Amino acid sequence: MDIMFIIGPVLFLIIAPIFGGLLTGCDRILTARFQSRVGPPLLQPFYDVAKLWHKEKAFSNPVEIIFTTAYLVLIAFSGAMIATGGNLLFVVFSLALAHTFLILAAYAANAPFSHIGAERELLSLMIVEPILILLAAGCFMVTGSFGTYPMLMLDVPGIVFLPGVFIAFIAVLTLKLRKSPFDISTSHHAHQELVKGVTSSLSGRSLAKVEIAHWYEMILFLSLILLFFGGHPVMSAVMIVLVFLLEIIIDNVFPRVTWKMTVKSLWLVTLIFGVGNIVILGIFGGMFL
Amino acid sequence: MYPPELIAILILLLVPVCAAVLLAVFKPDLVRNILVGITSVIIIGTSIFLAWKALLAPVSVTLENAEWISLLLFIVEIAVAVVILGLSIKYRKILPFILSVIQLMLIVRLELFGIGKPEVIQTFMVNNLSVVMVLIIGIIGTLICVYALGYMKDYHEHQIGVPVRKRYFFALMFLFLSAMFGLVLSNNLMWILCAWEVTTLCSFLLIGYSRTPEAVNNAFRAVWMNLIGGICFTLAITFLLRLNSPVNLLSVDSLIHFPNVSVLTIPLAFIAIAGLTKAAQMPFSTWLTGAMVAPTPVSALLHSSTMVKAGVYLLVLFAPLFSQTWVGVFLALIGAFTFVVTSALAISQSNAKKVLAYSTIANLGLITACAGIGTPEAIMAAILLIIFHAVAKALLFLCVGAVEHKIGSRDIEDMDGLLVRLPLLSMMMVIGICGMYLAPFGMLISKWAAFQAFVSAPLGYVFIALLAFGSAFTIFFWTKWLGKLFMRMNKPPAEKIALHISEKISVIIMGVLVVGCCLGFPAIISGVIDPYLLTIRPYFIVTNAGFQYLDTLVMLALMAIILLFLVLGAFLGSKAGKTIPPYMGGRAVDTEGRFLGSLGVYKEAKTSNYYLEEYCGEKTLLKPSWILSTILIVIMLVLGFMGVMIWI
Repeated sequence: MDIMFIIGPVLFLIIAPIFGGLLTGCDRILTARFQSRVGPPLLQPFYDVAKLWHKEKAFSNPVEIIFTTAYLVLIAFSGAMIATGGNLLFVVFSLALAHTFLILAAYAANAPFSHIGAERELLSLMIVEPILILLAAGCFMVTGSFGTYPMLMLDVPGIVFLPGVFIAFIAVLTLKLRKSPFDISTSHHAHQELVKGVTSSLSGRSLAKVEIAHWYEMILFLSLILLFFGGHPVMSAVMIVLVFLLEIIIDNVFPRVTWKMTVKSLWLVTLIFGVGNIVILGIFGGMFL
Repeated sequence: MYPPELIAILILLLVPVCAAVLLAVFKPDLVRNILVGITSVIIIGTSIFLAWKALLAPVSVTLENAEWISLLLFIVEIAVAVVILGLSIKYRKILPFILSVIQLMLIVRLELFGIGKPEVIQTFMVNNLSVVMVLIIGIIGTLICVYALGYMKDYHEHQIGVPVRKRYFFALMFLFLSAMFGLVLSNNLMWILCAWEVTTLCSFLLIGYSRTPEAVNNAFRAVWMNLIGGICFTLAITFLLRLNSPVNLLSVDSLIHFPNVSVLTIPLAFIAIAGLTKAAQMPFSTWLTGAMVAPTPVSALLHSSTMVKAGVYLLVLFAPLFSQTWVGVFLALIGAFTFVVTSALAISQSNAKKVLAYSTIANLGLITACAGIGTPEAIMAAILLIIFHAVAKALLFLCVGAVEHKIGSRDIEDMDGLLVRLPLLSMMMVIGICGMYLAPFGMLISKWAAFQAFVSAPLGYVFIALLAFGSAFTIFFWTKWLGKLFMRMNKPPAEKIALHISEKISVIIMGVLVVGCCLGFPAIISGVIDPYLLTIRPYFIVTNAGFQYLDTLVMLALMAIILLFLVLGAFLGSKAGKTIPPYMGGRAVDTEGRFLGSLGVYKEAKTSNYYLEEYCGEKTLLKPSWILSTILIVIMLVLGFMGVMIWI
């Protein structure tokens, strides 16, 4: 435990971007295959970021440098907190802070496209917040602590107690992995400026930082799946792969979902599955545990 | 010779009244400035002294001749009722008139027949909760009065046609401070009731300051809603007096420590309603949003940082009793429900003062929820929320007020790029907003504490769910405001507009206070709140979950350090690079950020924030939530009359 307190976060900080980049590469190849294309090489995301990093520094507002840095640092920090076994609620709050910085960067860019992107990113932040809080509350109800390690030490995997929360979590993961919906803050599908939203005014290093932060965030969210299958490494690994594939499929099957539909559908899922799960756990908690 | 604590208390109660009288007499601005300055220094100094004394050892003093004071206060209450009656007749308002008559009859009946022979009770009790309130009223309240000196000058320059009644205005402000001190320092419920009524009257008169039809209407709405609270308070006392009890139940101290809570449920339910009206919870929220027509210092003093705190103060005071009853659970439900609904409503507002008003109600809802749950963790969260909300919200109000006079609008859409146009004010505004919702600042810490309290409370899962959605709304409306401040940084700074020195002083001190409270919150918890919890803990159902204190502190500290580096980086870091015009879909853009339109004319690109009117608008949300919350209140009353207790 004590060693993990140091090793965990360090490992996360080093490994997460590597895995994140590789996953993005896989994603791009798979998506291309779905659309009968060949797709870029696996390492393309790294090439992209490396190229971005060496571009000329240009910005419409210098504060974006610090805002994007803050975004990257805080996302990495939140991930590291999870790896130390830290307080899940704290992670939720610090993620919200990180995204606030990304949104501020988009606001500061002072262009209509990025402003709309900022609003949509804000929406997605709002959509995701409740389920993350419910997840933290659910973990507390199961283990009596907001820490992440107790969830991993359970004899019975957490999903037995939190199936509804898991479903709701998977649903909002689509949003967090920047998959569907089509017109929310910044999609991977670069068809037009509006869709690139938050990042439409960023370039060079700022954009590279946002990209790396996204890798971190992807791994962070996928690693939250571990909470549901703690203590069962094989099952966790299988589930993470399955979830990731599922997200790619969802992305390609529902390419045109508007933000209104997103808010409604995701909050409905959160309400029915997430809240329902918590309420049932709250009522019968004593019997299960 | 009186002990120093008693002298301090008497200073706090009487000096503002004397100042009010003097302010009502003298007209010249210079005299007023000096008077307000001196009084403020006295009040701030005395409240800090009293707080220091009370933190060392709880103060409890008895005054001789308490009967005479009671008689005097009875006359004051009648006077309050008569003023409200008179104004109701003058403006032909039926509802306030009827309610005021009922209130008057109840009070007279209570004074003449209710109270038997006066028993000796402690006159003043200063526990740590009162200390918090005394500091809030003493420091924040007076700072707002100081701010008002400069503000009112500008106010009358902007509001042509509003009669200048500064004497009346400042006299009422200080009268109000005195009433607030009375409310938090007295130990006698009758005295608290009197102070309660005086605050109602002051806020009524101050909301109607400008005498425009809108102001008059809103003032009367405030008064009838608060009268309902007053009536409920009086009924609570009436029911308390009907109980057979070995101790005097009019004494707050013995009431809190009363062993058999099951007989207290009826008065508790009435006190809960009284608290709900004053704290502007659903369905009584409209008086607070309506009160925003008043000059900004009034909004800041009465309706965000101090007066509404009277309502939640009462609820938090009786929280140990609520914790054992179903009345408390429903009180908490109303609070949590209000938190969600008003946070959503705040999304739909672009008027900065209205956003602040709704966020105030939301935060009070959270405090109410904590008070209703009433576990030690919940009370800790409630007190933290009271402190952080008071400082941050006061700061925000002062900023909005000053900004309004400088840019001529209180609409958030007009605040884009404020950071360049009015650096000091918007810097303070950023501090205030961050203090309201972002990690690792104050409100977030208290919200965190509230989470910890809710998860282990009975029916906690309901509260968690409500809180989860409520916080999501909170993030939405604060962030879009914050974003506006950072927009259009390439605009030139506004022409030199001087801020009044009094405004500058108050705003800066308030900003320092916000930061100080955020940094010093561990000290607040261990120095103020923990001792308070210890004094009331024996009457609690003991819960097991604690605030994971050290871990939390370490993480918060880490985060604060990261933020510190980022802020340093923002000021010192290299900004080397090419500044390019904002991206406008490839159109040519000129130096002011306008794009080249199709007819060869440069046009400004305008985008505004999302307001989600369709889902969060007042039209959509207000009515259903009134109905729902009224049902909850009725259930709470019924449960109170049935005397249902929580079994654990």
